[in-house]
Amino acid sequence: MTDHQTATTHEHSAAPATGIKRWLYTTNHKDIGSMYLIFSLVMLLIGGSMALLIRSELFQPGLQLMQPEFFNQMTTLHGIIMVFGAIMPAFVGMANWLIPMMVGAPDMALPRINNWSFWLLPFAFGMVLSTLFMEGGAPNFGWTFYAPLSTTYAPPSVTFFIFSVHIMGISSVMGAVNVIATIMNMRAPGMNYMKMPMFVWTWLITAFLLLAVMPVLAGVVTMMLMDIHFGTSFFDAAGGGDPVMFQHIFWFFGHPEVYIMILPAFGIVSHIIPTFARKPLFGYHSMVIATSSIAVLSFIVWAHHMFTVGMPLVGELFFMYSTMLIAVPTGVEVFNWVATMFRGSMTFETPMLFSIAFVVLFTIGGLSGLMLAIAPADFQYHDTYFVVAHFHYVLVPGALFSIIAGVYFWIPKWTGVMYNEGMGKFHFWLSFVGVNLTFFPMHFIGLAGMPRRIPDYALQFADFNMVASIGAFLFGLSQLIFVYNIIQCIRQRGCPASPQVWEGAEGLEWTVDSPAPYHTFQTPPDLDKLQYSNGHN
Amino acid sequence: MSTLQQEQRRKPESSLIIKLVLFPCLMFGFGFLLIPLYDVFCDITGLNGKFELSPPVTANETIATDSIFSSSDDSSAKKIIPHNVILQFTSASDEQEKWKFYPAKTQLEISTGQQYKTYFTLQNPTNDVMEFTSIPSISPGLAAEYLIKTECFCFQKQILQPGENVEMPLVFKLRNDTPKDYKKLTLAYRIYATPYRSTAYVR
Repeated sequence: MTDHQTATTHEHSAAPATGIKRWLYTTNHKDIGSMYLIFSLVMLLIGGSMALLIRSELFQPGLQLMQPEFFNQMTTLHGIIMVFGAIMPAFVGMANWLIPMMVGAPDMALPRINNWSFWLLPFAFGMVLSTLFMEGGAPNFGWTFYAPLSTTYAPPSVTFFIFSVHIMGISSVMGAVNVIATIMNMRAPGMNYMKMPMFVWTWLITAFLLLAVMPVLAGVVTMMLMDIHFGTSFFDAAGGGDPVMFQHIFWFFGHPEVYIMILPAFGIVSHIIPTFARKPLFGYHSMVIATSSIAVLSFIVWAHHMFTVGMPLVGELFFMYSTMLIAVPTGVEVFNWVATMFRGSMTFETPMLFSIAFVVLFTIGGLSGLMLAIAPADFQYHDTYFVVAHFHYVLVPGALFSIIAGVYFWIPKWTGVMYNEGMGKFHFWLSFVGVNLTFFPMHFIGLAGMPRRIPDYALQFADFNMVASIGAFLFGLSQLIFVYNIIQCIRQRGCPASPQVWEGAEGLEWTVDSPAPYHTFQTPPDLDKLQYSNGHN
Repeated sequence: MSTLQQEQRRKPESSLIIKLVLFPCLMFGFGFLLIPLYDVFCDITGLNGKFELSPPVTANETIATDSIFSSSDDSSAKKIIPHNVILQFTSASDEQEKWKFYPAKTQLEISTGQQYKTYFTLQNPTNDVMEFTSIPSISPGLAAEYLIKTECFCFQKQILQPGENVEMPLVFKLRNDTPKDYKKLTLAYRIYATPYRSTAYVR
């Protein structure tokens, strides 16, 4: 390790540029990773503030703070920003930071493209947010933008929305091309596919999903654009089109998108749990196979989002059973995480706490997903708060918790400084209580019949909504502890971290200094000399 | 950087990059291709309750085979006994009150294999020449293949002068081999009005 360290430190001469130019022109995967992560944190706070506005309005029945029109804009922007602005860029940021270090590559395969794919994002989201100040208001048709709400009845700002979705799509596709090229072409000698760490594997699969479905999303918004401005009738029945077609194409993108937002999370917890259980990951091969099967199956289940549109029985049955089939590989993953912890020498540092909460709460979200997959029952649950509870359970204590866990896990490597463990644990417990307080009652009000996307509701839902709103503020405000902890690390306030950081950590990224030097693995690492292990047997 | 190190620096293969860029481009096209694919799929499986929108040719063909089937096969194979089906008609538009689009009869009891004629009325109370597109749909959707329309106002756009009131004919029959499970069918029409634009649209 020491030989290698000295080798990497004296061979490069390119130090980072100074000032704003460093960030504008950088092609360094670590700089770009940091920018992605900070961008997604800002978006998380903006989207979170919108969520808090929504919850404030729903604190009591009746209209107190805002009109329904603005409420609809808030639900739409909250969804768009969280999906495309917070969760996805956070995973791309981690991929940038970690994949080259994990596979022993000097940088991403296409560094300039990498810079461009990041810098597209602030413009895309700047445009989305600017629609708030436009005449007619921001998009108000929900994050799923079903036609004709998003075509015939849309506010004029929908055109800006479409353009920004195009930009986000280009950014994601370029990011995915970069990740695949890096993983396929730039691995250190001797690192074959079955030696890659799980995070690299899950991202490789995610990148293929992105390549396959982001263009379909671009296609569907292009059709919307043509319907709105060029007189076509893709989704307009008057001209021979079909509004249900929109839903089919959208969910052909939308369901793989769900896995784009969760597969990297599987990768992250597959690093953290073995580290703090001090055991190799249980069932690495089955993990790879399970992740790939989830990705393949994700293409044939889309219509379970639209059981109520009037599908023939055969269709309902097909999509019901294929959806339930996904529970099998997902169950394999959950089993493997639990089996990894079984009889491990576990310690409960913040990343581990978030990962265990991920396993438990993601499973709850998965099980409510199974309930929704039952076609006859879905007619009752469709478009209720039960659905809201379901997808928030898989996205907040699912995807978001894994991102938070990953940040705590790797931030000593990124900044060279240990975060404040006491504050981290405090952050975890407030988040854990807050998230459950927010989203668990939504199951009950959903089953009792409260519809989604309404600013006002019947009196019998008042108590649970009040609980959910209190929980939302607890969860939202506790993230400020997270932000403070991150800022302290960036400002180098804290104990310096060792290269390995965590006692049980395995993998190439832990063999370089903390903070990781600006350039790593300029010469390929010698896996045998490093006694490389990716945390599995 | 020395030449040795440049050799060691791994580069991505350009053939891989080309493939990776081409794939999303193809997927963009695939998104558009989904529309005809769905139509073909619905056509083959008879899902979605969609009719042929240009049926004169196919309808005649089906009738032709139908009559051969009923005349020649009657003696040799199983005899098809006509049965009665209740056919309901519904109409809808975005502005139901404005256009006054209604079926002449809301319900008919018909016998399979026989041809019937009914009317839908449509009024254009506005001061503009209007063009109406009618979109039919039958439920249950799988019954669509058994309903044969020889004349329908949905085959072409209807152009109505200001204040004009028309009775639009619909000539149809249910095929001989309509399964007995279908006791009650609903034939729904929805009209969409657009201002009459130019002669380019006249067929």
